[in-house]
Amino acid sequence: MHSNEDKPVTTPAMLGLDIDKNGFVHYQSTPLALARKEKGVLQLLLRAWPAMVPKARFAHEVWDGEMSDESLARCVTSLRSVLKGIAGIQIRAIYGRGYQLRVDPPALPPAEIPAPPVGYSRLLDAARVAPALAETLMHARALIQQRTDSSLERAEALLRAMMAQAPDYAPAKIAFAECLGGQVSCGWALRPSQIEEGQQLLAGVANQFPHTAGLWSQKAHLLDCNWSFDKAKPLHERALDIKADDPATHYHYGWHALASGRPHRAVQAFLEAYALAPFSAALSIMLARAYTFVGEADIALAYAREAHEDHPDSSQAYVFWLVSEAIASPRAALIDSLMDVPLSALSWSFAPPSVAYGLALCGALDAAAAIVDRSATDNPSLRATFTSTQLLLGDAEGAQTRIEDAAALGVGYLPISLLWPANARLREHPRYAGVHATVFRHAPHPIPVADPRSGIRTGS
Amino acid sequence: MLGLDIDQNGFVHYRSVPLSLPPKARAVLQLLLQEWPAVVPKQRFAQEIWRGAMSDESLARCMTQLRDALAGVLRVKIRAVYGEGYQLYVVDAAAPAHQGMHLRLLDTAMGAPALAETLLHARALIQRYTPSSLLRAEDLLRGLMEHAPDYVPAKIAFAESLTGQVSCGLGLRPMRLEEGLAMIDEAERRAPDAAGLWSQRAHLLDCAWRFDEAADCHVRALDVGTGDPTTHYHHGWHLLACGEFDAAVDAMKRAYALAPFSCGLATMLARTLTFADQAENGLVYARKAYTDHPDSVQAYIYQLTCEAYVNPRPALVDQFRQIKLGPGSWSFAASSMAYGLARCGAHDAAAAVIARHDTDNPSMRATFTSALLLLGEAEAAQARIADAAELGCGFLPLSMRAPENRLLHRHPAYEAVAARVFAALPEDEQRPHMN
Repeated sequence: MHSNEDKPVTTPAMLGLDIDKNGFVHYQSTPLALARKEKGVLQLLLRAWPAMVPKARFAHEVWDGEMSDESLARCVTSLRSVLKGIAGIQIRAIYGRGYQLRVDPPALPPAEIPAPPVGYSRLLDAARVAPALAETLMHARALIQQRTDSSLERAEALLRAMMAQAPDYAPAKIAFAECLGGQVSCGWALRPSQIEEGQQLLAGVANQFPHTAGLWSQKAHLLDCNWSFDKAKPLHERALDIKADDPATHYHYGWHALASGRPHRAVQAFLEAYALAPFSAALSIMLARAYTFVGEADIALAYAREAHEDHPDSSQAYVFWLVSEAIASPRAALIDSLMDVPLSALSWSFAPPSVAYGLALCGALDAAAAIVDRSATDNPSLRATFTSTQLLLGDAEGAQTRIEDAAALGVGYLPISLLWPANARLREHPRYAGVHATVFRHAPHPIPVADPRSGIRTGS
Repeated sequence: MLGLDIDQNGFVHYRSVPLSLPPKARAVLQLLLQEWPAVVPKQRFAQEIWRGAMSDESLARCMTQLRDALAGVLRVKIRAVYGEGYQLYVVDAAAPAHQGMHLRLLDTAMGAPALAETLLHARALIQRYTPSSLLRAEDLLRGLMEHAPDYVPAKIAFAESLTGQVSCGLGLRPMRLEEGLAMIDEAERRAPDAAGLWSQRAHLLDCAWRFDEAADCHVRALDVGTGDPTTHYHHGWHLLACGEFDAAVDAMKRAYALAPFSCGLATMLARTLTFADQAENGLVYARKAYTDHPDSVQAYIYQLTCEAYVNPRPALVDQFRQIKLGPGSWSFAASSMAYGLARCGAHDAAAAVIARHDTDNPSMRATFTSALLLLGEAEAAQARIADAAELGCGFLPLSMRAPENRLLHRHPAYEAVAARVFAALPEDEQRPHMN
């Protein structure tokens, strides 16, 4: 029964099950090979869906009157085995009365025809709640975008409180998962159990509010954070089919492409995200970063500079701009500015490794080494962000050890680090191939250890 | 009544903003609206829109598009009547329209993502209250209005950027407020129900010292905008300017409850409490603002200033001295610093800050009166107030009522300036401005 007409209903046809005008049952346009009685039973169930079909109708219409309960049950059993391959379709027995076709939308609802953009779906979802909640959500999302340890901590605390206060407000759960993704992207050493918490929340949203903007993309991103690129890929594609108007959806897809060895596709995805949200510092920086993967340091610099101009108060934009200058044209004049960067919980989480790398590129090797040394007690995730500097300092062994530690922990950001051209020399280490194989074991296509671009930008 | 209308060309408008719909979806919505509250049978869609060749699935797909489009129209839903057709229905017609929703955000979200994101960014810039952020916001919004003249929230935010400049002492000419009012008129022609429209008009009028006209607009704004933090903030500003301090505290508290993480609102609530002689209470909010926004220079300086006001002590002097000022700092950073230094006994340092800003515009110069009074320079303070009044400086009414400027009221020339600034108070607020 349709108990709630407001909820989008999945029909058998949406799952690919249809009857043609000759009465043949098709699955995804291929006729199903069914015995005569099975076909008759399935036709009845489909035509009556979602209603129950009483036994008497089967007896009358399929068996011409002479039917035993047992023969009907046998027929249904063989139909069930035929339908087993079709996710979401079930035949349910209504005890003593009849049978009913049940459609339970599978975890992945079928891709819808994308509607033309009418408004901004993610923001519409956010706004449909008491103003104080919506304001708090917007604030938490702004904090996630700031990418500092302090801002990510505050965002997490706010979102936890919000989920406790308003458990039905799906955007808060999506934002919580977004916060986890942000923490991964900032070198927090999240354990797989923490990512799992996010996945659980999203599974709850998928059951209750499967059309929440950003849901599938966020789910995919958490899979990427666990290196499950193969599982993430179809979810990203579906998310882009459904909500092509959502900047975060393109951003997550770009992240996926960057982490699974397709930097050119990543640039394209980040550009689309950027077109939709031109004033997100975190996004502009990811776009600039992706350009450094394809050897376009000058374009990267242009975006980095723009992000800094648009966000003069942002630590992330400032530090990234400085290091982009150093990558594009390393020079001693940058050293003082790099040395003056404050490094605290209010600074960009990647400020220390970025400053160290910038200093090393500009020739301030001792200062760079001092920052690397200070990171010795950081968590393995953050420690692994210093490898590019270590390589410049000639410490390939130290770099290799750090990526091994990060790999053992399952650090979400590691795939992107490993593929960054500034880390290309990692690949020369004899033990590198082992780490590479582990991290990319679920890549949808093989990522060769020997990168043809190896060594194009190592700063020397 | 619900804000959904069809114009003579058959376009469907929501709160006067045309919905961008593909032709079939638009026609389906027209039919549903026309027949409301009746059920429209499937055959009618088939005959009138598809000219016969319609599958149930294509109709259902169209309904999905429409449901998405109507997601922002909170009380209108499409219901499938099994075996019959579709019906437009109103959810809980007894409930006040759009209760419990963030209307301003909804209006924002009716635009394409790039428009909405730009608008949100511009509003965040306005909230920073620095000269550079306000000018940048004005630029962005001007661009947005050119690019998307139908996007009404941009016009309202543009007016907000103007009043933001007034509030920050950027020496905006009253003429610019007229530009803002014209923009609001234009917005009203396009979308008379746009969220925040009346409140923004009221605030522009307040900034032009037209408090009596503003009062009516605030009433109207509060009628529909009880869920909008900015609406309460503007009302609180009006009440402060009119000398209704306790009522202003209530209004600011309402605004703060609706947007507990707006740094600007938290500091404004703290400031309002100092007007109402509850400075200790104000300090609580000032501290909270800084805790919630540890990277905000505005929150930091205001908290320090509030500390100095409540409990002046030499220990604060160093903290004030360490504040770095630049075009990216909070507009009131320099005057707060001068006041805090003077209040904590560092008179020379305070005088030095004032001297460095001697060539600022008259509006900005008027923000230093509280420090000047502490330094015993009532004459200079009065002169600055008079200059600012000459310019029509928008935030002057608040400055003149601020507790740290009460000494000014004794100056023989003060009454003339006050009579001019407060010439248009609403009837029931025509009370002596002297304390």
